[in-house]
Amino acid sequence: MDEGSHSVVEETRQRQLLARDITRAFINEDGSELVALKDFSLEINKGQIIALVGPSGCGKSTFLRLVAGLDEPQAGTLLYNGQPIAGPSPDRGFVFQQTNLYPWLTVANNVAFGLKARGLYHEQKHRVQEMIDLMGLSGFEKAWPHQISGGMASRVALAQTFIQDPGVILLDEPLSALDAFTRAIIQDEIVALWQQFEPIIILVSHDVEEAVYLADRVVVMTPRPGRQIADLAIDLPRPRERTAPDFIQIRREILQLLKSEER
Amino acid sequence: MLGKQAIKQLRRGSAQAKPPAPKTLMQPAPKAPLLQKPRLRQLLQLALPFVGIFVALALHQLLPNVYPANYSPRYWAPILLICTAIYALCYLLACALVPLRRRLLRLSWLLAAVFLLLEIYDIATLKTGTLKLPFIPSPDKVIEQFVVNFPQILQAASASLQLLATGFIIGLMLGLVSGVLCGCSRIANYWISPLLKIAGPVPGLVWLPIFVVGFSSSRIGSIAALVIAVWFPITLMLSNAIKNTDLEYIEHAQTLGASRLYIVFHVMLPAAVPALANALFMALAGSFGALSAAELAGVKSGLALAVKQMGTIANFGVVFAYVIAMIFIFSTLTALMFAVRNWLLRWQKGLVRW
Repeated sequence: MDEGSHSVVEETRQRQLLARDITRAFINEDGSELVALKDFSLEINKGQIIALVGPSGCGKSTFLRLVAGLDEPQAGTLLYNGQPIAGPSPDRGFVFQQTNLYPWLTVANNVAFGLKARGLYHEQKHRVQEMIDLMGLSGFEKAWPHQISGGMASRVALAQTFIQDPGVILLDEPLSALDAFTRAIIQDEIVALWQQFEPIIILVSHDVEEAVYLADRVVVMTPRPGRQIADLAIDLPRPRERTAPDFIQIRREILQLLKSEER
Repeated sequence: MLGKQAIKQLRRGSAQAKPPAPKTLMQPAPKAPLLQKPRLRQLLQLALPFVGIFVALALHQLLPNVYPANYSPRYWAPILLICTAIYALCYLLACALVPLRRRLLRLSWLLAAVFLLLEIYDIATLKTGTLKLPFIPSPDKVIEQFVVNFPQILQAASASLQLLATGFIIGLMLGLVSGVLCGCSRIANYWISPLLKIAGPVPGLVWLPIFVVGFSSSRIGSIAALVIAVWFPITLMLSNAIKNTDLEYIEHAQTLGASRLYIVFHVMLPAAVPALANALFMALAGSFGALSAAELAGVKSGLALAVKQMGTIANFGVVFAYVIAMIFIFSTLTALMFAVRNWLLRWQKGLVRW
């Protein structure tokens, strides 16, 4: 780290998650370089929901993987609670794009996976049932993942991560496979979970409406190289009304930003 | 900030506002009732094997015994009557129990055909002499030999099963260990995979003389040949499946706080179970082959050896009796293996049942 590192640490006292000048490039099979993120900076305060929107290849998912510790930046500083991120941790939960429940585990055992892996299951057994009840999964504890609907699978995936009570939850298009109706219900459930557990949530979405509905801030990104072009605060009260003029106005703004970049 | 109660309220609220509440999102598979009265058509179809048995019995009793001269059958008719009694019991149970009925309905044509075919065989041997002794004994003769030689058959079968079980279990254990090691560790893979490539594909019969001499014990040598036949497919398929575990499963477990060791046993191994189930079948088939080879060239005991010895002295009635015992044992073991597979893969959708 450079001589400015001390002030950076100071800053993260308030800004729980801090990314500064992050660069991550991949080498394609033909040897050409694909810059997924270029000098990308982002500061996130405690308990905020941040939505990253933008077309494919703008580095949204790459950023999530960096925060999760599944990947490392080639340049830049990435701090969580003042500490550099090194490797995955149960304090930074990740809900993957394909709600990948473990098909060989029942719903209850999927929810309990993290607790069992960390050896906390015996003392915190009751929390599994609480989480299952909270997510409306009661009665399906013993069901196999292939027996439940897509909406329920999303709930199980959320329960699996939220039961760990992480400081950061990364959502990589978690609802993209669902129909619009189920998606709207589960968006409300995400807000309710967020209000109870108060984590930072970083949401990657192709759906601008979803981003505006859920997020405190929407970060608009563009591809090649992936960088940020706007950071909009959404000050609408919750629960939000999708058809309110303010809501529509913000949506329009973001869509126009994305469109102007395409040209 | 909303409290937990409020969240529950909110959840309830959203469920009320939208008619299809979460519960209806899932359609549990409709369960068929266990007990149900059969329809007339089903009763008739279930009776088909009776027709087969009675036709066989009638032909057997009515046609004169001509070959060999002065031979009077004693076993075939009682056996057919015993079959009638057993099937009658199944028939009555199937009238009440739906799962058994479904199975028997599917088998009914097949069973009827089997008895008719056996009667054709009876006619071709005992009743006309079209198929000649000593090579093709009549069914009556085969059953007579089975009854007369039953103690020896039982002894041979138990010797075969002991050898098979010892070799299979040791091979399975070694295969599980080396499969997991090869799949997870590059170093283990470096040292084990050459062994796998050289030793694995060679049939047990080839190894046998070397092992018997090498271990200076025909029993240990035979077990070693069986172990290789089982160890090879298990190690190969398990290690490949573990190496190909979906990366997202592993990364997901990492973000949930799982250690490397925990991931091996709770993610990679269960993800490899479908491949393991297939490998178990290959191992079982391979072990049957290796068992026969070991009995002929190694331990000099068991069913396969008896078949060969009796064949050499042209006692084909006994050969047939031993073959029946082998068919019974091998098909029972295969059915058992399918039960194990169905249990291992009970979480899979649309599994083909045996």
